[in-house]
Amino acid sequence: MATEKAYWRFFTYLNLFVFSMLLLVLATGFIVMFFGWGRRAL
Amino acid sequence: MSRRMLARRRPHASHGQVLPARTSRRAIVLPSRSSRSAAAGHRKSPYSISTDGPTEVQEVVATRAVKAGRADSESRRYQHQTVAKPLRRGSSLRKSTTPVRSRRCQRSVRSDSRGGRQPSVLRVGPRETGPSAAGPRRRNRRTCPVSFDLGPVVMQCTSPATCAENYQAAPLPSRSRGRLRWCGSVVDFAVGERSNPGSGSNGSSRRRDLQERPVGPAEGRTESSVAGPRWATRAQREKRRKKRKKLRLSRLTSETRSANVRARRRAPDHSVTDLARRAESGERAPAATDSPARVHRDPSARRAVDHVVAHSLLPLLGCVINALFGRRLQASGFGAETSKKLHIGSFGVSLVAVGAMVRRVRPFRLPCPQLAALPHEARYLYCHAWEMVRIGSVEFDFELRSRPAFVVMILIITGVGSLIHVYAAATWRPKRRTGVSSRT
Repeated sequence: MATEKAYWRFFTYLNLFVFSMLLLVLATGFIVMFFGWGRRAL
Repeated sequence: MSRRMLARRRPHASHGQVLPARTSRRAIVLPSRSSRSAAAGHRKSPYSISTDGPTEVQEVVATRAVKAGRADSESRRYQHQTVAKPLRRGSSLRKSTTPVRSRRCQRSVRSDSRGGRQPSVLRVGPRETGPSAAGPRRRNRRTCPVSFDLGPVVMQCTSPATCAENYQAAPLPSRSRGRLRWCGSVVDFAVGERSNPGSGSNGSSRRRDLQERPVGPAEGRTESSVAGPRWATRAQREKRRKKRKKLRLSRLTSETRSANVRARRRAPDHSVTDLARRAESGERAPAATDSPARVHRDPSARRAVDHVVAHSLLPLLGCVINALFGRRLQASGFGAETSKKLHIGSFGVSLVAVGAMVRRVRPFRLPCPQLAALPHEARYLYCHAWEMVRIGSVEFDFELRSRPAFVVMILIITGVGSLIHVYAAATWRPKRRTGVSSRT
């Protein structure tokens, strides 16, 4: 990983993952929860 | 079945006699008001009325309690009239023919049955969506109904979560008046004035009409309250509508009109602030001056909502910044630091939110015991971001909600995420900083 060039991509996906995990946790309805779930699996 | 037909069917209902023992058949009734007008202000039409009646499913247009016995308050022999009309076909009532009650609710109803006669139950509360509504659903949590005992008519909320507690404060000292609050609106009930006590001894006694009138400042009103109560007669409703229109035109300046629109668009998150305020002042019954607009203007509620939003928005912000400028930022050696800070910032926001939850939403004003005094259903932060889909009575909103248990999970997510950031940034050894094109 130290030799990886595109660290920004890693951080992008990591932040997206964390965002969707938070969405999954904070969601009230199934639709929002599904958004979180689907993006988490991305 | 028209109203006239119904009167023909049950002639005793109009002659002022005591109704026979009612069967246990129950009908749950929804108003025929269009969901569009009721949905104004993010509010379901609040009436979900079920009667213990001998009739089939029908829509209760008016419920009248006629005092037939002596004038003293001990006598509870009321005659009960139900003016009803058949339910519309295809309305969303179909799903909710089985009302859900908690055990406490049932007990309270049973304790009110006197003389071997089951009192008719007029349930006021959120629209129920079926047997699954017993669980902690959002609609139930939004409302804060109070049950009332108006002679033979027991009004109670259909929200099992809050009913058990609210019923403690429900029985009114005088049976003639009451104040009810749900979905953020305050409603006055008046079982009409007894104008002449001497004349009300036999069948010609004055009717004590169950009337409903929404009160509160003008900006708290919505279209649904203008449309009038469900159990008023049509003439009454028409009269009231005209009166309110006149009143509104005279009162509503452009300022309050915009406030009204804002209040309608805003989320009814009164469960956070209203209950907190109630716990703070020690009052159990709903206050008369509460209005949704006023509740929403509470800055502590906004702050709590901000915490919830910031939870999810900071990682998204980091994601977007990384996706857009990540390559360039990485080349400049500034990007990793920014990403790290953003995510650690999210973790910090979670900590702040936990603190807010612990200190009861109002961080410096409410001590913990009063936080613990809140009902379980009220211990959450709620954020209504926007309305996504609305199909008839079905709605999907973009809403976020954080509970104490959720906050633990949020802390895990953001904590682990920040650790990953720290370690990933530590392993990154930028060897070349020559330029964008050479790195990717």
